[in-house]
Amino acid sequence: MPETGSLSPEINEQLETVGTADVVIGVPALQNTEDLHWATKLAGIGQRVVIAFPKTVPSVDSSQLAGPQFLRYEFTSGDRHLNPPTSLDGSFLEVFQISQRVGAKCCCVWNGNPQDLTFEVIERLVAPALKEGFDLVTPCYLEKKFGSLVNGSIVYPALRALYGKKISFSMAIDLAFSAQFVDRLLQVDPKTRRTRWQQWIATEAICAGLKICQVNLPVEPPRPPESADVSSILTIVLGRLFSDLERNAAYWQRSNGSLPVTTFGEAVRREERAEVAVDVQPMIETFQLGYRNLREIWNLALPPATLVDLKKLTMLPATTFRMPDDLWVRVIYDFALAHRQRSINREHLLRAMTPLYLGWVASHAQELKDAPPSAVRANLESLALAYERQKPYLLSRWRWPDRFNP
Amino acid sequence: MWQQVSQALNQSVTRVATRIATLLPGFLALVVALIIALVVAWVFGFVLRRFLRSFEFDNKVSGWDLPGMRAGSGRSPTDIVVRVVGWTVVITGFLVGVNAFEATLTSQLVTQLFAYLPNVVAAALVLLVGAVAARFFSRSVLIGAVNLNVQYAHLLSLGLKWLILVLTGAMALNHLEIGGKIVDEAFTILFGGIVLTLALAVGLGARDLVSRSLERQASRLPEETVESLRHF
Repeated sequence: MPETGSLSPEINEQLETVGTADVVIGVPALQNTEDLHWATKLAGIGQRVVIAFPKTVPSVDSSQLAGPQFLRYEFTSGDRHLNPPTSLDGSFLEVFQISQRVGAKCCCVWNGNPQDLTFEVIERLVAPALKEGFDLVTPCYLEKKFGSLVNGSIVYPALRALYGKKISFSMAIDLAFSAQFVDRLLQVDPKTRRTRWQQWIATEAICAGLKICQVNLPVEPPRPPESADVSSILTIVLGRLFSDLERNAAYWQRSNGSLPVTTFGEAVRREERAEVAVDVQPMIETFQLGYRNLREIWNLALPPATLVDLKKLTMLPATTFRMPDDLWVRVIYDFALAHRQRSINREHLLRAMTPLYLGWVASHAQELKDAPPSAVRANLESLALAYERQKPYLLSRWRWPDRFNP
Repeated sequence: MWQQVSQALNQSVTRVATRIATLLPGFLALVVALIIALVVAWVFGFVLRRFLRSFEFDNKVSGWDLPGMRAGSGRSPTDIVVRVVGWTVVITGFLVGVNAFEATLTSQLVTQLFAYLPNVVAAALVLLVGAVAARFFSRSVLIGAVNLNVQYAHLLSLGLKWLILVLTGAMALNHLEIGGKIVDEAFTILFGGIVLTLALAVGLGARDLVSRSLERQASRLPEETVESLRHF
C-alpha cells in the first residue's frame, strides 16, 4: 500500500478544489511569481497541470495564467543543496503526496534556480515520463570545462562501473517521475526500514529495473550555497554513495560492464576558452599537508602500496603533479571498504578524504588546464573505464576483507 | 636464672606457635579461595571470550575508536573485557579469603574497601570517557585543520588532546581523593599553560595565514575572479 503520509488540512482543502490532474510540477525554491512566466504556455499542451510552490510566495491570479492550477504549500524547510543531491528532502515528499492524491501520471520537481526554469525545460523533463513511459528522468546539465568535479571524478564513474548505467547526473535535484515510481518511492524499504524516497533515487530506480532516461538541458547545475565547504558536501556525498553500496551489494556485485541510458535532446556545449587559469598550488599543499598529518588515518583504509604511491606524489612539483587514474580509483574503493568495515569513525574517515580529492583535482586541472573541453571529457571517460577495470579489485576485497586488510 | 630464661623462651615459643596455629587455617583458606577464584576466573574468561567472539564484539567496538584497542592485536576489546572480568573474580576471591582471617580486622578492611570501590569505578569511567573524547575531538580538529590548509594542524590537535586528558586526569584523581589541593593547583597550572600555548600558536600562525591570503588576493588577475573550478 503506497504511503501517502499526511497532508495538512489546508492543502487537502485546496486539493478538493483541484480534483484530478495529469502532471504535477513542484517548484519549492520559487520566491516570486514572475518566475512562473512559462506557465502560460501550459494551457496549450492538452494536459491538466498543477503547479505547487511555497506558501511564502504571493498567490497567482489564475485568470491571468489560464491553464494550470496553483497550489501554495508550506514545503518542509531544509537546505536543499547541503542535504541532497543524492537524497530527496521533504519538498519531494510533499510533491509526491500531492501527485498521488490528484492521480497524476507524472510529476516533476525543480529544486534548482527557478529563473532557469522555462517551458522548454519543463517540456523536456516531463515528456519522457508522460509520453514515453520512462519512470525516472534525470537532467544532463550544461557543464563547464572543470565543472561538477565530484560527479565526474567519483559519483558518475562509480555508479557506471558498479551499477552498469551511464547516468550523467545521478545527483541531480531536478527530476521527473512516473506515477508508478512515485508510488514505489513512498513505500518503506524492508531492508533499511526507511521510505525509499530518502535513499539514493537513481540506484533505487536501477535496482528496481525501472526505465531511466536523461535529457539535455540548457541550464547549469544548481550551486550549493556559499557557506557550504568542499569537505562537508564531499562527506555527505561519499557517505551516501558508500552506504548505498552496502545496501545494494547484492545487485552491483552481479552487474557487468555499463550501458548508456536513453538520452533526449541535443547535447548543449558551452563556448569557452581552452585555457583556464587554475591555481593548483593550494590544493597540492593541502594534499601534502594531509599526507603528513593524516597518514595514521589513511593507514586504516589504504594498503601500504597505495600509501607509497601517495608518498611519491607528495614529492612531485606542481608542474609534474599527476595522480594516475588507477591510483585514484583504488583510493575510492579502499575508502568504500573502510566505510563498510567501520575501522574508524565514519565521519572522520570521509572528511579525511578531502586532501586526497583535492590532490586529484590539482592533478586533473594541471594536466588539462590548456586542453579543450573535449580533451577533458575524454580524460573523464578514461577515468570511468579505470573504475570498470578496477571493479574486480573492489569485489575481491568486499567478499574477502580479512585477506586484504591493510 | 637459666631456668627462668628457658621458661620465658618456652612460653614465647608456645604463644607464637599458638598464634600461627590460629592463623594457619585462615591462611590456608585464603590460598584455597585464591586457587578457586583463579580457576573460576579462567572458566569465566574462556566462556566469555567464546561468547564475545561469536557475535564479533571486536569489530563492533572497533568502530567506537577506543584508544589502544584494535581487533586482532594483543589488546583487543575482547581481551580487555575478559581480563577485567577475570581480575574482578580473583579480587573477590581474595577478599573472601582475607575475611577468613581475624574477622574484626579484616571486615573493617573489607568495609573500607567496598566503600572506596564506587570512587574507583567512577574514576575509571571518567578516564575511559576522557580518553575516548580526547582521541575523538583531537582527530576531528586535526582533520578539520588539515582541510583548511592550516599548517599547525598537528599542534592544535595535540594541544586539544592533552587539554582533555589533563582535565580528565584531574577529575579522576578528585574522585579517588588523591592529592587534594596539590592536584587542583597542578591542574590549573597545566591547563592554563596548554591554553596559553595554543592561543599563542593560533595567534602567531594566523598572522602568516592572513598575510598569505592577502598576497593571493592582491596578485590575482581580474579574469581569475571568475570561478574556473566547480566541485559540485
